[in-house]
Amino acid sequence: MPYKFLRLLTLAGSVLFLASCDKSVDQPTLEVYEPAGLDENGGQWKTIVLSSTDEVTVSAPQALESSSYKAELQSLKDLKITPEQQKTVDFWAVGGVYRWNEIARTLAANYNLPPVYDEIQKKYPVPDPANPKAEPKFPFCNPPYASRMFAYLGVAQYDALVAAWKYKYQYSRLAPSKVDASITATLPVSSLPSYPSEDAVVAAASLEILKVMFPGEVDKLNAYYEAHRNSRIWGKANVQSDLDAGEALGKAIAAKVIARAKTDGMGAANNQSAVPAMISAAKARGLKTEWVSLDAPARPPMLPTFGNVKTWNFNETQKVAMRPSPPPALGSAGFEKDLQELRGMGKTLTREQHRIASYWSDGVGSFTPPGHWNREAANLTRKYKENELRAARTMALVGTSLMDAGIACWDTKFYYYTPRPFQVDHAVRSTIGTPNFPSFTSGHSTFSGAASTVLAYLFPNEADAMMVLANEASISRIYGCIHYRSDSEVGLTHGNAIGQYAIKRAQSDGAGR
Amino acid sequence: MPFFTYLRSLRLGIWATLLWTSSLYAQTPTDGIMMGKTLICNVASYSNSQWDQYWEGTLKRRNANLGTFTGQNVMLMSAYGLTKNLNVMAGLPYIWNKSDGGHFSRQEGIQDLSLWLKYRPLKAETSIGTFGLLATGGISIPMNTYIPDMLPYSIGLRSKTASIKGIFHYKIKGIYLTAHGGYIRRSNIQIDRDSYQAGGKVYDTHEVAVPDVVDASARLGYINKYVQVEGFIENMTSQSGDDIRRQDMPFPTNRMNQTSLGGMAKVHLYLKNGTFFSLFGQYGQVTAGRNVGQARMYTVGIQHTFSVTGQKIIM
Repeated sequence: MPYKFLRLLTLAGSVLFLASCDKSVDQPTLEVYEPAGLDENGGQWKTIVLSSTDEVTVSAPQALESSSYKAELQSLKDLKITPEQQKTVDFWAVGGVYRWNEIARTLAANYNLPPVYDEIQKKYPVPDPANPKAEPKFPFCNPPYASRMFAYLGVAQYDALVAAWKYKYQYSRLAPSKVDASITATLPVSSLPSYPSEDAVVAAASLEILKVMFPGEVDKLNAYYEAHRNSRIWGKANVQSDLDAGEALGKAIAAKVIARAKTDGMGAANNQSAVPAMISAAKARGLKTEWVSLDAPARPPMLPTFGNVKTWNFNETQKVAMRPSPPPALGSAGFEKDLQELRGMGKTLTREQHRIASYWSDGVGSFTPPGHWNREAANLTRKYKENELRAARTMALVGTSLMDAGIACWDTKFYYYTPRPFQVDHAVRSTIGTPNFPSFTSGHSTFSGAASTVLAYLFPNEADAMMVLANEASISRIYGCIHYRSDSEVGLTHGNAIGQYAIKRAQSDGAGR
Repeated sequence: MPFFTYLRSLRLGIWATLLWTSSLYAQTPTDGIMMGKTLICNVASYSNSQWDQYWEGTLKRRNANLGTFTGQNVMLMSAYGLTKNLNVMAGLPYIWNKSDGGHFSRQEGIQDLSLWLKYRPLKAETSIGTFGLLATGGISIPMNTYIPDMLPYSIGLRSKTASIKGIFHYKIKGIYLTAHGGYIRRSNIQIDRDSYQAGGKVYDTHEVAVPDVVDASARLGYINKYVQVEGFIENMTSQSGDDIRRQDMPFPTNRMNQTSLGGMAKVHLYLKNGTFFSLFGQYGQVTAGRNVGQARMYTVGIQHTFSVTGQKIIM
């Protein structure tokens, strides 16, 4: 009976398939590494917000012979941890700077949702930082907001770690396992002095920044914070006083960084009443048709005055000097050429081009383009086994450059106020979401130009790879039919120039390349 | 949006129709002929579904950036009687999806090839009617690398699936009742992005888990040698997954559930060459759902049945 056989085979096959197919999603495993170097002079590096590390002090630790320190060592010796606690140790062993940036990317993705139109009030509500959990939740973590959030996170971690390094080498108290050979740490322990704990510094600085950026997530952030601190005890890599000193230092420096954030102009970045004057000014410069929102109902533009927020690596004059020349005017031959390319895109788009558009879409619900480059940078800190301080420097340089890119790009967008392709020709339909702000220049291209320039400088071996990524990110917006070629090309060049200013900072901060 | 489950459901609807016609013929005692073996039936159908409201999680809403969503498909199917108790079937749809609001481009293409084996281990003719128990096992495989995470425009989820179903059938004097329950296992998929948010987590991988589905239906109908009419209720329930977040786009991880009600009618036209054509129409309406569009859908189709041996079908 061949049919009976076939039948059995099929049923058996189905059952096998049903049972064997693994639903779990594999993510890259993150190895724990020993840093490639300790940067012993890191305490002398130039800080970003702090005028100097003298702004904060860390009191001297208890002497090795003191009874209180001996009691701390004894408590490590007595410690037995559960498998669950070991998981926490392993999680944080990957790196505090890496993990807190990862948490920040997750929060960015979780909060990157635009407010829903209020049918009764007939307007889009604005998220309220005083009431962050109510709809619409605060913040709407759009690309400018995210760029700023990552920048402050990176700067706080960096400044706090520079100070931590200074005091580490000033007091030179080694890790518990180096002081007492009967203690075996389950984490890699180097000769880096352990007081104050760099992990506690990163945890405290990150916690304070992210509480300000995501005020509705305080409980979750506190839980991460506790876990991170505990992991250092459970891994027998720090004693309690290492952590307490680190916490105090991290919080003190975060407070100074937050003070800069409170006065950087972000509070005035959503000044919708400035929009009519912006449009008039753009028209006076030759704009024929101003951008209008493609959302239905029309949504006020995203943070129209974000371009006025305080930059990190260049000043107002330099920002204006870098501002790109105007794009091809509507109806000009150059404009028609760009538009014509998009008109044909629907028919000629290859699967590979669609892949590129999708890969770099970084739209609503994602961790945004700054998040995309934040991840790129974080992965390189791991690839090159950077210690916490150097990793924080990488993240701070890339982070500040991304925020600078956001500010300078928004300044450009609202200076020229040009319409998106779909607004000009409804035949140009997109394969990715069209962002709710003017077209010229492409934000993606500017972010990517800046971040790739900084990363290429910090990781010369990756320079070519970074340029390839940035070019792909830039052209992805053309494949997605939401930007003209001139938006992308000019944005990328603008981004490169913005990145150069972060390199200037890097060249003079005492850290070498 | 998650019109996909809806399409899937529609296809299941078509499948069920097809299965039942074919098996009914094979087991209809009144015509005096067991036609199952060597009988082949080829079907071409067109389906159209529309919705302008969808469930964002459990919240039913409209979205002007989407307007009215329209999904269309042309489906080719064949069923063949290996024996009177064992059928093999295949189907392949071409799908077009678009909406009249917003600025997204339409998506279209050949979707997934489905293959099924259907087996009837039990058939009992009693004084109170005829009872049948059936089981089907099927697989589906994407036929191209369409984009699965551009929902609701994506033409499918690009998951490979395997499914098993149990079917109970009862018939007396032309009136029949059919009920089925099934489980659809869906493989994880690869998307172009290597990072995405699902269930509050960010995943740093191309791989996305797609929820499995339990489906069930009940059909009550009447059939004779010329016509068939039936009403049905269908349900599809995801076994895991997250909700579309407020004002977010749908995503393949979403828990897509729906219940729909509908009806189907079919007429048979017999030809002198011993084959016959059937014309059928179906209408359905999603009545409850989660992370899916509230679709109204209709299908029209034509079906040609003949024996591969050239033997005439005499009804």
